[in-house]
Amino acid sequence: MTDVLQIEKLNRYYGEGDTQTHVLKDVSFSLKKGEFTALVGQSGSGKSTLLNLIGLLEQPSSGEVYLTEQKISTLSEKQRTQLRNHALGFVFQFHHLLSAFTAIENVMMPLKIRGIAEKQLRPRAQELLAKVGLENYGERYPTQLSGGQQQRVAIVRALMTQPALVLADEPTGNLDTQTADSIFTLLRQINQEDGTAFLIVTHDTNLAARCDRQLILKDGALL
Amino acid sequence: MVWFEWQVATRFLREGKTQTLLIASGIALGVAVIVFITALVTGLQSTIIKRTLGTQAHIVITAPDKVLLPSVTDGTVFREIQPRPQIIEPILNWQLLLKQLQQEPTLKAVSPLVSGAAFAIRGQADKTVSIIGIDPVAYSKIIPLEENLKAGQLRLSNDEAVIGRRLADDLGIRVGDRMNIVTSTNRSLAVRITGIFELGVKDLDKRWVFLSLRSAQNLLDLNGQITGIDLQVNSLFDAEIISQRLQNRYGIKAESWMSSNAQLMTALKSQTASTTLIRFFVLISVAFGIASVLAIAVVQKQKEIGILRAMGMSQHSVLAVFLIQGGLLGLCGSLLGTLGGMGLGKIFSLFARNAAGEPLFELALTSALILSTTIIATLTGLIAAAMPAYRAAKLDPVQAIRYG
Repeated sequence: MTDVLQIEKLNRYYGEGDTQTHVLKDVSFSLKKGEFTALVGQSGSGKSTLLNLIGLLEQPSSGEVYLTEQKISTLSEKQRTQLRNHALGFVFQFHHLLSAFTAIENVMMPLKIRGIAEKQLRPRAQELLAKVGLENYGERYPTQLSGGQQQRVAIVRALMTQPALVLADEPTGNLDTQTADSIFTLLRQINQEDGTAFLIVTHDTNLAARCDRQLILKDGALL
Repeated sequence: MVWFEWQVATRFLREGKTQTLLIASGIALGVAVIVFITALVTGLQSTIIKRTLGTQAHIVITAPDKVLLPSVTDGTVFREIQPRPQIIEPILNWQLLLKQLQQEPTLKAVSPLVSGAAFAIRGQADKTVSIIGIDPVAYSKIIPLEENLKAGQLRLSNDEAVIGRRLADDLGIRVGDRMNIVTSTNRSLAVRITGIFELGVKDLDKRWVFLSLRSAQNLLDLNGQITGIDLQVNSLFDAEIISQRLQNRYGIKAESWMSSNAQLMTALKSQTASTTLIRFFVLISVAFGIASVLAIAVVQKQKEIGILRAMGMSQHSVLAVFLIQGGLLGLCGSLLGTLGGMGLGKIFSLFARNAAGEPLFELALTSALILSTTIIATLTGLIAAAMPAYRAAKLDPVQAIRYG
């Protein structure tokens, strides 16, 4: 099995009784290693919920998630936290860098969480920053960077752990078209060079069309 | 591992500079008050005790009181019992008792004495005095007579006496002059004054006349006997317990300075209690301050906590980050506060001076006080941080990162 992610009959309800809403309905799919996939859908279609479930930030009401062949429902909170750190990279719409830390410190953060010394991490972090053209911006704080630069730092941060899968929630949603395009190109390039699988949530049909595959979510079900 | 949490905690504190400074000054203020008030009260109390004990033995031993022992056993109930007058009673077998007391490890000094009432007469003037026969060397370890000598020296051979300054003034006596001592049984002794002391207590400076043990024994018709033993203990506040024990073991009457100054002890105790209360409430308000600032910080940092959790930071680590912040705030605040307290103390001692310009009393700014306050404030910070830290750790990352 070379599936990075496998999802079986995933259901998610919110609330109880009359007000209960069925957000995800029997969603099943899998992602292969190195696959570059778009997740498309209207707002309210359940994209974010699905991403949270895959990101191990939420638990399904029923169904099963296998991440790098590990059955999630059998893991403890601590084990899920560790798996998140090792197997996943997150890129959020609003880049979400930690404002108290410099760009390079933000990049090293996921591995510092593991307890690895900064000294060992710096060369790789610097190399990754160079890859996205930010080799001279490492010592700046997030507020001293433009939106596009911040998002590139966030992407590099997601790649720092060499995750099997990067989850990107509207990574270009907050950027102008030109910057959005260059960010997308960057993601594609990393995907092809490193073989990292990507699941990208997007509104943009143009960008979605440039992915290997499109998953379309409508009213909580995959089309 | 803790290094990482430490780094995040200090970065968070540094980022919220204004908040951090404000709360640290709040803590510092509280700690300054605690340090100052404790040093003040401790200093004041030790000065009062020192002054009180400057003219008193820690424990005074006398012969047991005479009590009436009714010899009827037929069930008669007495309507009225007349107490017996207490006459000066020598202590039985005192040489042995003295030896035993000298071997007590809790006692620092032991001094036998003979005391009684008499008149001091010079020319036409006569004054009631209290004659005390002592061994100057042993007695100096109880009351520092030598230090309080205003004139002459502390020398007591057979016909020599050391008297208080007020008595000397009343009788017009200078060192080298003579006076007569007459007792109620009409025994008399002419003595030469070798020294004049001033203890600063009017009554004592007016009445105390020190003689050699032997002279006093002769005057009071107590050949070879003593009427009391003054004791100095090693640990001041154990005096009462020690005196109880001596009383039970040796069958003598022992009174500690604590029971003979019961009112003073009550005052000191209530003072200590009110200080403790003030310290407690200041500490509580410091704790509330830290807790509320951290509670706000948790809300402010909600998003960042969510991101860190999404990246794989454990709940324990998040908990640690906020506990460290609380502890650090407590520590830094208390270090600043200690300095502030010392500053307050310095200012205070500039103003609290007597007419001669000497400080009224020393502030007890001990390193033990500073250390214990620092430790307590740091612990308070940790405890105050517990609730916000727990809430931070329990944050749902999804809620925390919420979009938009």
